[in-house]
Amino acid sequence: MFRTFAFVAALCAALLGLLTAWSREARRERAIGRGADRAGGRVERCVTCHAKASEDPGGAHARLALGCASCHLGNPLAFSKERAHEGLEREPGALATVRETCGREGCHAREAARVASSPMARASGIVSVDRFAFGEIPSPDGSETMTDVLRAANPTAAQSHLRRLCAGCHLGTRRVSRDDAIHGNGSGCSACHVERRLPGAPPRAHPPVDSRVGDDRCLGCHNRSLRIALSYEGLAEIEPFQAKGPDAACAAPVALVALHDGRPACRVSPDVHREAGMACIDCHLHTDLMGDGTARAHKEEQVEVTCEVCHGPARQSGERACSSFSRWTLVRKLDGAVLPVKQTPRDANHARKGHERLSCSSCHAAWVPTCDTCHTSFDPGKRQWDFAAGKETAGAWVERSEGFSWAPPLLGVRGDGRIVPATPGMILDMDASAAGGGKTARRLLSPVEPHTTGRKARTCESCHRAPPAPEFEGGTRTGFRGLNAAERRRVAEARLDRR
Amino acid sequence: MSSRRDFLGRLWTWTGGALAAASVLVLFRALRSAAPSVREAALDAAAVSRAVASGGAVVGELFVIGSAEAPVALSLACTHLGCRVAGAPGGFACPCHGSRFDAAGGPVAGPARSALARVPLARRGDTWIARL
Amino acid sequence: MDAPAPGAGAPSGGFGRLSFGFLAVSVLSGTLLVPFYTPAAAWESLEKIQSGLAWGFFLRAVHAYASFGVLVATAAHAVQVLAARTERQLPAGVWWRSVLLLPVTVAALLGGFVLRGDAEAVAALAIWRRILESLPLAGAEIARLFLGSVPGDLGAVALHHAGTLTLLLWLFTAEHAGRFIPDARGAVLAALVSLALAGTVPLPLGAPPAAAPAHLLGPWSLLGLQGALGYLAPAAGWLLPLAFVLLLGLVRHAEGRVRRALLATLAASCAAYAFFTVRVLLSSRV
Repeated sequence: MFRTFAFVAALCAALLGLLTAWSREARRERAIGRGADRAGGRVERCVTCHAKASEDPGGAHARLALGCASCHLGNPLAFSKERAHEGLEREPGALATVRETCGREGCHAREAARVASSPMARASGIVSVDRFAFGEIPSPDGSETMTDVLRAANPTAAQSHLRRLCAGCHLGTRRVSRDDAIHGNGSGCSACHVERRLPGAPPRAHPPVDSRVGDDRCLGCHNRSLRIALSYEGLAEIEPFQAKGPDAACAAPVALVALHDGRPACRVSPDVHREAGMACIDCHLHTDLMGDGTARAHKEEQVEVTCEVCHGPARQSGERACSSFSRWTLVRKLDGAVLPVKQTPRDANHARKGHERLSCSSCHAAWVPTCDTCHTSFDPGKRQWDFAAGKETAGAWVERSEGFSWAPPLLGVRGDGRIVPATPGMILDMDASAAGGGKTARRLLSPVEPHTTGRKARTCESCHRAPPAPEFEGGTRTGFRGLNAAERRRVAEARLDRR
Repeated sequence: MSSRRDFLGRLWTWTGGALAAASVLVLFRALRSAAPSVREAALDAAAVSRAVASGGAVVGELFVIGSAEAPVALSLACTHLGCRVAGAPGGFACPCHGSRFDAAGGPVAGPARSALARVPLARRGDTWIARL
Repeated sequence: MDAPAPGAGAPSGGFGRLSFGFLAVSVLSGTLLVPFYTPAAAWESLEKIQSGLAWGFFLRAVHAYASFGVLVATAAHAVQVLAARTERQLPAGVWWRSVLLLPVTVAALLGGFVLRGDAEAVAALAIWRRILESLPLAGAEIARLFLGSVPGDLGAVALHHAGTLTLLLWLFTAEHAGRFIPDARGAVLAALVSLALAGTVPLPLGAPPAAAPAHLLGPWSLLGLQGALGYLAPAAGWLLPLAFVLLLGLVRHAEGRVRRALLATLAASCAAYAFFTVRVLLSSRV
């Protein structure tokens, strides 16, 4: 009796097993890819499914040469989608996995190691100046990086401010953790080397991975803070209330434009290099951008290119954006066009007594963006994106200004004595009491490379007979300051000799 | 009296035993000589420098720490029963029986009693040669 | 065959016949897997069998579950025999060779686990080698004899798994059963159970060999030993199984209080084994 029962039960179970296996086999048959399964000389089953032409990045990273798993990881031997996609890296180049993707041995290991020391990855200047402005650290030249801020267990008021408003533009923050201004940029290597894809855009083919980085990617992050990418294009951001009414800063349709995220901006004058068709990467070569292994406090210490490198007269050694044969030329990276490079004339304008300490852009920069008083406070009731958490969390930092504008740059004195353009960019009134900090008011002068080189230099009167510049308590760099009283007097009393 | 049959029977037995013993000896010698010979693995010097600059990283099948002039290669075989150890906060952890090691390879917890083996590295041109 | 085997209607023969049936199913399904497996590319073979071969996953599952069935049925048969006190029905030589069926089955299962080539298999092979190397006198040579002398190559493990161990299992089982092939009922029942399990309980693949998961679990039948090895010397890896086999074998030669003491020790070891198995499973979920 029992034996019969056991036999019947086993028979039914076996039939059930066979039926289940049959349906599983049918599913397996439908789900696997067909076609060639080799790429780059290895077995790469990714290509049995991902065989469309639109899934091939082409160029040096072509699917046939590298396959998919070299960059996207995952399991290239698997047949089924679930197993193949285990451990997948959807954003190759992200700094968390860069050592296994772009930076693996045999590929770009040197570059990946250098990027870790670059200002774009460390953002130590942003962090230190912000914490200095909040009064949390004594000098704006620290070595705390954005990664340290994102990982801080008990963030201070400034660290909370950075985590909500600034950390999106850090190379380590992944593409899914972005705010409105920088949507679409990848992270790590792909922040620059892969085209931006704005949210809501239609699905696109696999973007190429190349070294010809267009300005749209730089604009992705450098449309904030000192806004140098906007200035280079000739755009000056304004607050929405300045775009309306009779006192509007500029009017549509010619002068007023909307940026990619809706912020209004006025058309001023673009940089002459931009008008000549030069991209950011025509001047900023790879050690400027990707680091050289040495961690530096501020971005201007990392940048190697100077006006003199191309225009003379005093050329430094190191990397050159321009070359000379019978004359100096620059080859544009994006399209290969050859541009002649005007050399600095040996005339009285460039040999004036008293101008020895001036940088080129002190006279040649047309304008810088200015910002009249920023009121910063923390509102625990609102919600805001937190880049450390990768989602919206309670509490929001609110910044309100009394209007943006643009004006010829102020001048400031660096710690080494050189006179460079500056902007009153840190006139702040901060209330961090709801975030564990205090109330502070700052008046700081910020050195800036304006990226608004004009056709003509500024007039002598624009500096020597300008109304007195406001006083500042200090600068956003140790030792950076405005002109002191004696220097102001000498400037105001200088004879304007036009020989 | 011991018959010839008995003698032959015992001869068969003893011959069989001798053959078996000889086979075992030959097998033993063969197996002894099949011990894996010393293997040299080449580690690229630039990769080693990058590894020590970042505080220690895997290069090939070894974990390299130390300084660029005097790197130290640690074997990633757990000293308990040979599983490959993985990086863990503060050092290494073995996924098989729970042994833990500190950043220099010293045993900290679990059944492993000795430190991770240090593989000698010798500089040859622009590579470091590891004798495994 | 001059050994009187337990009769077809013997109360302690049921699981034994089932065990022989499972062995037949396992050998048949294993033979059918041979064309698709390469020891030198083990993990790739497994990925192909699991997802790239028509009914490959099913064939692999039938082979695995039939092999597990061999062990479970053999162990159940041993318990049945000891409870019914019928071990003396076998001559001593046959009894001892039958007792050896248990460690040989476990060795065959471990070999099958190692042949998967995934991260768990790589670790299991390293541990197996270290345990064999801890044998006195000729440990390293014995390890090479059974596990191969070519680093990274599973050829020796595959040949012993499919050849040596399978042959031993079949010979000892046939001798014990008094017949060359399993009886029809045992074979059919074993086949039905294997098919049922293979279809309804999917058999997954492990992690890729280069992966570094936080915990690695060995074969289910050896989890107790894995747990014990966390506290004992590597030599326990062969000493404990040897002790167990000896105690089990000696039951046939003992009686009265000694027999009861042996049985109690065996039961206690099984309980300890179960305890370590549960412990390892729980700690791997952390």
